[in-house]
This record gives sequence, structure tokens and C-alpha cells, in this order.
Amino acid sequence: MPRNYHDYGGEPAGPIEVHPHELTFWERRVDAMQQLLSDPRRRFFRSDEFRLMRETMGEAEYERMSYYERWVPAMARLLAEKGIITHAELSKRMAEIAERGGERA
Amino acid sequence: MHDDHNHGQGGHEYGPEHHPVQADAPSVEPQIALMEQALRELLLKKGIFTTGELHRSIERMEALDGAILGKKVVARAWNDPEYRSLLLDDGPRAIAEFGASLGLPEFRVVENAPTIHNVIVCTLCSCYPRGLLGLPPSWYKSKEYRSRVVREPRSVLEEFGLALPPEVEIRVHDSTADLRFMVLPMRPVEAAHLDEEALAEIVTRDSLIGVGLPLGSQ
Repeated sequence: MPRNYHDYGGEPAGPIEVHPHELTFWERRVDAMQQLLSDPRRRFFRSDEFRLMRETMGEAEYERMSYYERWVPAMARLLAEKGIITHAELSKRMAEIAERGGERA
Repeated sequence: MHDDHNHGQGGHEYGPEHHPVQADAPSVEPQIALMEQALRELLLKKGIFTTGELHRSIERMEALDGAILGKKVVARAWNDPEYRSLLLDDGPRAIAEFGASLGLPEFRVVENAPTIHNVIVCTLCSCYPRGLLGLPPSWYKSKEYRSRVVREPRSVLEEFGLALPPEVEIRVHDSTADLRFMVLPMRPVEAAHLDEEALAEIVTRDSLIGVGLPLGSQ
């Protein structure tokens, strides 16, 4: 069975950037949103389901996106599967935000 | 992934591994930024969570990162042989004594010895016991660490400045969504006289992952 693109173990790769950088506010907020959606009160998904979304998003997207960028389409897809949102309302909202020029003051 | 129960103390006692926010932190893809905002607005509008809950979730994460509970767990294990046995036999029960729960089926503590050194990784993603170790450092989630540490752990550890003698066997533990690990490092010889509180201060985050040793180690 060919291995999936996320299965990095044992593959050749370059040097490790051993000095970690702190998360940006955007990354923290994405993380916080994921924590809420999977917390005991909401429990919309488990971490294995969430991981599956990233493992099936396609290699090009996986490699192009940063760690937390991958979480966004992964959460959106899961929430649509669970009937919390629809893809149509998400697209509509994205169009509205683009039209009003980004983050609301 | 209900592993961030709020047992942090809110302080920001960053250890020596602390580094400031990168000035050149990569910017977010515009389409992803748009999707994130739309998703967040929709969830707020539907009452799935409130702005206050989102902010408290961020604060909880920062508290976990500021007070790494794993340091206290290790300090107690060094000072109390019974606790050490419990920690190695039943990790979830041992950390429950500190009010912590990772909310996972399995959590295991792997103990270093004079000829055994343990390292943890998640080759498939970034599984990490954040309830004990705070947020994973950026390199833990990187392609480079995930790829290489299982194949050439010795040279990877050298990149972190940890050169182990050839007679030390390196054991690499690959985490999953349901099973996570923490390393119980060896107590430095010089730390023999320290009490539990002082011991917790020499335990580094990196020593709990296995890419470093406690402060004062030979």
C-alpha cells in the first residue's frame, strides 16, 4: 500500500529549525476555536476525525499550507459533514466579507 | 482532543526555550484567512460559541504554556519512589493527582536510564500531551522533525545540542491521536539535595520530549 502524503516518518528531510517561534494571534485563535469545537460540551469531532480531514485534503494543499492553515478547511469540512454549517452559507459569508473589505471593525 | 483542561496558573514563567514571536512569521493565505473569518462569524452567529468563550480558550492555552505541569510531575517522581511507580504504571492516574486529564484512552510515561534515552514524536501529525507540556514547539510539528527523528535520532538530537554516547540506546516513541507519551528524564546527580519545588525548575520542556536534558545534567 503506498503511503499517504502526511506519513513523513523515515523520509529524508532537511535540517530542523530547533529554535521554536511563538504562535501568532491568528494561529492561537484557530487553535482555540478547534479546542472549543471538540471540548466536552460541544464534541463536534474527535482528534482522529480532524486528522483525517487533513490527511484527505490533497497533497498539494497539505504541502502548501502552514500547520494552522490546514486546520481551517479541515474544520469547515467536518462542521459541514456534521450539519453545523453548510458549504453554501460559508461561501456566501466569505463573499460578503470580501465585499466589505475584510475584518469588521 | 480534550486535553487542555484548565489547570494552568495563568503565569508566564517562560523557560530558557522561550523565543519571541518571529518578526517574519509567515502571513496567512488570503483565501484561508477569509475562510477562517467566515467560519468564526458563522459559528458566533449560530451561538455555537461566544466571543468570551473564544477568548477564554486562548487564555487557557497560554496558561498551559506558561506553567508546564509535566515539570512538577517529574519533580514528584524524582522525590517519591511510589509516585514514580504509579507514573510509569498508570500515567493517567498519576497525573490526575495534579488535577490533570488528557482526555485520551492512553498516556504513557517512558523513563530514561543510564543506557536508554527516550524521544517522542508524532510522525503522522502533531499529537502531543499539551495538558502536561503546553503547546507543541514549532519544530515538533515540522516536516523535518517528523521525518527524520525516527530514522536518524542520534543526529537529530545532535542538532538540538544533545550528543549522547554511542552506548546509549535511543528509543523513539511515535504518538497517535489516542496514545501520547512524556519522557521521565534522569535526575541530575547534582540535584540530589533539591526539594520538589526546586527540582521542578530544572526540568525543561525539551527534556520531557527527549531532545534535551534537565538543567545541570552531565
